[in-house]
Amino acid sequence: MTHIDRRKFLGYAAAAGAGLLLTRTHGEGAPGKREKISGEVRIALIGSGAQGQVLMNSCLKIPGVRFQAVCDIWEAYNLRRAQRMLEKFGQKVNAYEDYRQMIAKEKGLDAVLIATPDFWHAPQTVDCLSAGLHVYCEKEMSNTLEGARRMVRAARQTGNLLQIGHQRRSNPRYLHCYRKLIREAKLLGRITTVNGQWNRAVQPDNTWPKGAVIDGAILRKYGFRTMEEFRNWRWYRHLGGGPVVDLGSHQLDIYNWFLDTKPRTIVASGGIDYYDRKTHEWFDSVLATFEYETPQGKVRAFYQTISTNSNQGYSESFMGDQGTLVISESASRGAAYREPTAPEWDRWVSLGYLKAPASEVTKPQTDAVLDVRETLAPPSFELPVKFDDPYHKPHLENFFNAVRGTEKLNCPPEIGYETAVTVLTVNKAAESGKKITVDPREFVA
Amino acid sequence: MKMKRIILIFLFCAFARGETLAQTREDVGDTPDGNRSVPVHLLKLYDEFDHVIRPDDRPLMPFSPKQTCRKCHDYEKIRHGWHFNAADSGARGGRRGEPWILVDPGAATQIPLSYRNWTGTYRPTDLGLSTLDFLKTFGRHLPGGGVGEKDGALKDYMRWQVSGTLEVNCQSCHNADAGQSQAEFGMQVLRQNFRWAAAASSGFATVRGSAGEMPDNYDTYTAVPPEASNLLPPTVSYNTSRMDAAGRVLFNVPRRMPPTQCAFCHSSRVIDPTRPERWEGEEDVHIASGMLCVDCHRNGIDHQMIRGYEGEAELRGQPHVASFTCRGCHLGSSDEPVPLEGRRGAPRPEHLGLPPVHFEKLACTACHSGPWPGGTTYTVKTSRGHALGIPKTDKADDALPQIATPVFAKQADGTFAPHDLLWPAFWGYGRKGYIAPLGPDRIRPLVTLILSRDTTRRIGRWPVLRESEILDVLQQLRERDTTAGDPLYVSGGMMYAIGPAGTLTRLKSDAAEPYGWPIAHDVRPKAQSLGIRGCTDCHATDAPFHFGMVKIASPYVVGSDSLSRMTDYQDVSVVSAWLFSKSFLFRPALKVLIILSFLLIASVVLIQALGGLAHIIRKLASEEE
Repeated sequence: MTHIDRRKFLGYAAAAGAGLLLTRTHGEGAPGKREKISGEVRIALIGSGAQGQVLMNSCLKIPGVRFQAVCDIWEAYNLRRAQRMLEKFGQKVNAYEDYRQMIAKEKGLDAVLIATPDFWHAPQTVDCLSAGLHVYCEKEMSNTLEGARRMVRAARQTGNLLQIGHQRRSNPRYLHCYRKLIREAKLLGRITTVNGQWNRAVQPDNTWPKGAVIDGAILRKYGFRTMEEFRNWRWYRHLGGGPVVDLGSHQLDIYNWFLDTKPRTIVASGGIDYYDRKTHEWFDSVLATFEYETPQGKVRAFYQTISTNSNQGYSESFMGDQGTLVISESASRGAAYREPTAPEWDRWVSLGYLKAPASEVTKPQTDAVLDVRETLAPPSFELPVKFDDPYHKPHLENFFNAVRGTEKLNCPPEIGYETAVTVLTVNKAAESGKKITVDPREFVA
Repeated sequence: MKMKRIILIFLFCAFARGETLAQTREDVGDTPDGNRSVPVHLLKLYDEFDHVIRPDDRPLMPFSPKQTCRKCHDYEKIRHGWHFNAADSGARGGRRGEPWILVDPGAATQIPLSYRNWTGTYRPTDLGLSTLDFLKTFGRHLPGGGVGEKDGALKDYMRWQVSGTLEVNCQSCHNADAGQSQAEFGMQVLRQNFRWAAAASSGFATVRGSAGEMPDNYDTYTAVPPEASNLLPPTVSYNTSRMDAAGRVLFNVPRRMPPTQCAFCHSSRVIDPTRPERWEGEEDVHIASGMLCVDCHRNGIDHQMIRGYEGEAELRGQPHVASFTCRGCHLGSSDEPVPLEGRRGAPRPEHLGLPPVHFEKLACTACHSGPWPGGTTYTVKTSRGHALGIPKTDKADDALPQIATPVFAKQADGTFAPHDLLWPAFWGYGRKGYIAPLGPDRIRPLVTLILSRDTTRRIGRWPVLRESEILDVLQQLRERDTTAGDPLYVSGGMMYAIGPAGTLTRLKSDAAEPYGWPIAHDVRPKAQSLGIRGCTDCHATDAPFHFGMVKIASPYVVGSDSLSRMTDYQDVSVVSAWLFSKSFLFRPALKVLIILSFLLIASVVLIQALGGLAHIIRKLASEEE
């Protein structure tokens, strides 16, 4: 038996402790898990197209975040544009076409933002998580449930953070509505109906500058058949999920969130009613109905997304027996309306949960004899929360703070998966024309 | 022999390459061969990335004047010309001219701005205005280029990506097509459609939508983001009937541009209540006689346009430029090796009976330019000051800014000349002799808050400030920032500060001095020159030249200070001017007296002389006898 004296023992213990403190990649549980970090978060962006630039723009306004690399297969346009912009803001970045090369070469990265087409989300997220990186992945989580499931499992196995880009989950206006008005004040009473829509004007297809066409071999390498497909991937079945996934996922996520449950049945009607079927494989109009079972009773919800008319824009309204809440990511909409038979809302106004209505609404003067059947338009109780930042900024801040260990993620992969199940089932329902009953177990990856 | 062959081959190659380069040189259109006909500008259109535009392109891109015109013209040289170089470091400002005037009644602000170093103006950056901010306000009356092509502030980077660069719009001056619309250019610039503005103004393209309304990440090649799909992005369509089979468009580019090209930015309207209708006034006599602006205001490819003021030739180091001043054209100079006066038939003035001292003390414009002065100055509206020509601009006579004209002031060279005059009004902080003005955005909320306390008072063109309110604002400025310096307000020729006792104190300051710029147009015909009716046009105790009153148009002017004397701007004592003018009462009589006296003396001398002659004749006759 080797004799270890007290001095040696203390030395070995100190060395072991120092080793534990200095190691970044070792931790409890799964291999590749990153330690929570403090200070500057070093990030890379995969996918610097339209949405990637939205994320970039928000990140540039968040202190303590630094871009180290950017990756896009469109080197002649997206990649150069992003690199130029970041350099303008003093962040010199390495540029890549292939994300695998990027994660292999870039040392010291903490996290990756993924803003590529939906069908790439799963492989890229899984690879990045496995490489020891935290991931912020844009919605929709994946264009297939199988892909979404792999993402959830990869996050669990690696222990690294995965935030899904349903940014309303961190929007202060939405958080106020959920926490204060619905959960605490139960302002609406028993919610019975939900409506939502995203009406979008007719739009031409995305195009590209002359002289910036991607080589066919590169397009095919990354799953695209043509430049047209690359630029308009959302409309192709093997690449995206169409408007109800692109747009509806935001709002259906809110339905699930505010109702604290998932839909039990889904019925949908959809079609390629307007656009050219050769270039638009997904439904350009979808109307869906959902049934939710809540502790208070059944809630029936309706949702539409159309691509031929922008009137009324996008919003969600939750209707209960005591009031209605109308909210949108657009700051121009956000108010509650009290039902005439409901108790007064003075208490919530005095607590600062709502703003008092602007003025007393009076009945219009008419020459007719007083008609008591006329009802007043309900006064509008505006939301007291002001939000002027870029829409994605709070959600990204939440992600980076979670990376630092100071906050929990507002949209972890499990929640993202629930929304993915919801929206992908809408397409299935529209396809089949049948009412689909969704087993609650299907919402668990 | 072998070496000789090698050398010959080398020389041949070098020569051939040189010839090739000469044929492909960008400035081939800038090197005249002497032919006086106008080259036909049947041109292919190129976008900002130098791609040819074809009618079936998707998306259709706006054509770029830079890429289209630089095929034959040295764009790099052109863009440092006078109309574009205000913000170029090292560009000479020369004699001061009309500034850009930032007006904000809600902030009680009216402040002259310029990127040129003209004393009395402030740089837009002094007020926190970025180049984008500047273009959003004043770009409507710019021909493109200048700050439109300079690196903007980092905070505006995304907006510049959306709007594009505002290139020099060659068409602003050079396209005489009936459809060429500088008003449309201005409107597009106001919508921040910088990339599209030139195409919109051309007369053969239509631009819809607004880059200014697009989100920061908007890209021309990507459809509008869904959360903004109710907005109209900027798009261009071309009138393909204007394109030939090869996609080329005919531009109407004359050698001498008509005055209407210049008029959009260089118009003015004197508010004369006695002549409210346009037909009752007159245009510049040069234009009326058939001349063009460019006959005098010439330039070469460098676009260093001749402004035509005395001293410009010396400043430019180009003596022949002197021949384009009033004197140069009408009087000439014996110093010139070749006589140059009389251009375009310019008449030589006789100036009968005018004492030569007038040519030493007066600029030509004193007698010949601007409106005939009245007892009180008029208000004048200008293109750049009042957005003349832009649809839905405020056409009211009292629209801000309020500029006084004509003000006969002494210039730097000591001569008197008519000026337009503006009284600055602004808030700021004073520190170590320098005043840092505050931009209206910073001060408006404060001023509006204070003014709104008295809801019974109506606010007209200017808010009616009271001393207590000025003091209130200054005190609040001091509380907000104790390190920036002393809060000040400039208005009506005075500076106001918080005095030691906490009351409002009035101070004299250079910063409060009015900003004036000499005017040369409209030139009146000879029969409407000052002095045509005699010396008392100017030399009378009620003549406006010395004794006219100048309106002080400013948010806060203390009672009797709302008018000032013309002599205040002439470095002349009002008493001495009055006495001198009074002398002209008896001058005609004095002249008659002098003539009569002369006749009398002459008669006496003659009589005496004749008498003497008679005596001599009689003496000679008697000697003969």
